[in-house]
Amino acid sequence: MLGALTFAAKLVMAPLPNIEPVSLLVMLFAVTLGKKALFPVYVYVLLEISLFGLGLWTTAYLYIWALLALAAFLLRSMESPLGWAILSGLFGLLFGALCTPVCLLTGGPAFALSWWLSGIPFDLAHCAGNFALTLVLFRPGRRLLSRLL
Amino acid sequence: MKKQTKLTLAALALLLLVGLLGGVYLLSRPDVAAGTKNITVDIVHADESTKSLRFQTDKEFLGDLLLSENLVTGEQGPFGLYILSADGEVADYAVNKAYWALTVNGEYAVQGADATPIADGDAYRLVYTVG
Repeated sequence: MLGALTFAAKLVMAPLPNIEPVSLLVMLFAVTLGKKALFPVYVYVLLEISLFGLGLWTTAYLYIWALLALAAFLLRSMESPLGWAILSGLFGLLFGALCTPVCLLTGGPAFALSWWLSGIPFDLAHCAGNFALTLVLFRPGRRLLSRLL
Repeated sequence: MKKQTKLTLAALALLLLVGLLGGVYLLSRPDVAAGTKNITVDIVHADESTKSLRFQTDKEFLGDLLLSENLVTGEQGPFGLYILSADGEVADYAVNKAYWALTVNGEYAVQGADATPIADGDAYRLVYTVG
């Protein structure tokens, strides 16, 4: 259900440019559910693949969100919203770079490099959106999920 | 090291990385040609019929031209403009894995139409592609 909720939240927020709730939710699942966070994460990924097909970024989703969940799990004792905002912002900033292994396999080094470079403005905006959203919502979100689960 | 110091250092590192990536982008972004350019745009439909158009334009990026001429509709995806329809024909990946492939002078474009700079004499093709 949490995976479906993540998918629905992403679709609802899709009109807002470069602001997505998935990073925040994946981190929240990791700190409240621990290893079980992979269940909602991969339900979300499967829903993405079923709607959009197995394309470049949906293939990258197979490992990208798990990496974020792992980072959040390792930092789960951190309380500071600023710390979480930094992690979320860093993830947004590196999102394009994290997708390049798929580009490398499908189109070679030149394609991967040009694809990453052309996407940097989106990564910068992703970083800003993630940072702001997490700074505001991480603490109340963590409290709410801890109470519900 | 105090927690506050660690956080401050992490925030500074993030800012530094933002600046670094911004600099890399500015140094590597494609040259945008100013002034009037003459280009061609071919739209190849699912039934393989082709609509060929010629433009004389001051626009700097292909996406701006295609949208202003109402040739395409699309939505902003994580990586720029994702073209949903061209010349009135919708390519729906969810239905039959169809999408609009963009080529520039015969080569697949490495970025979306909105990030593809227009150069004088360029030939662009939007091809209805399945799979």
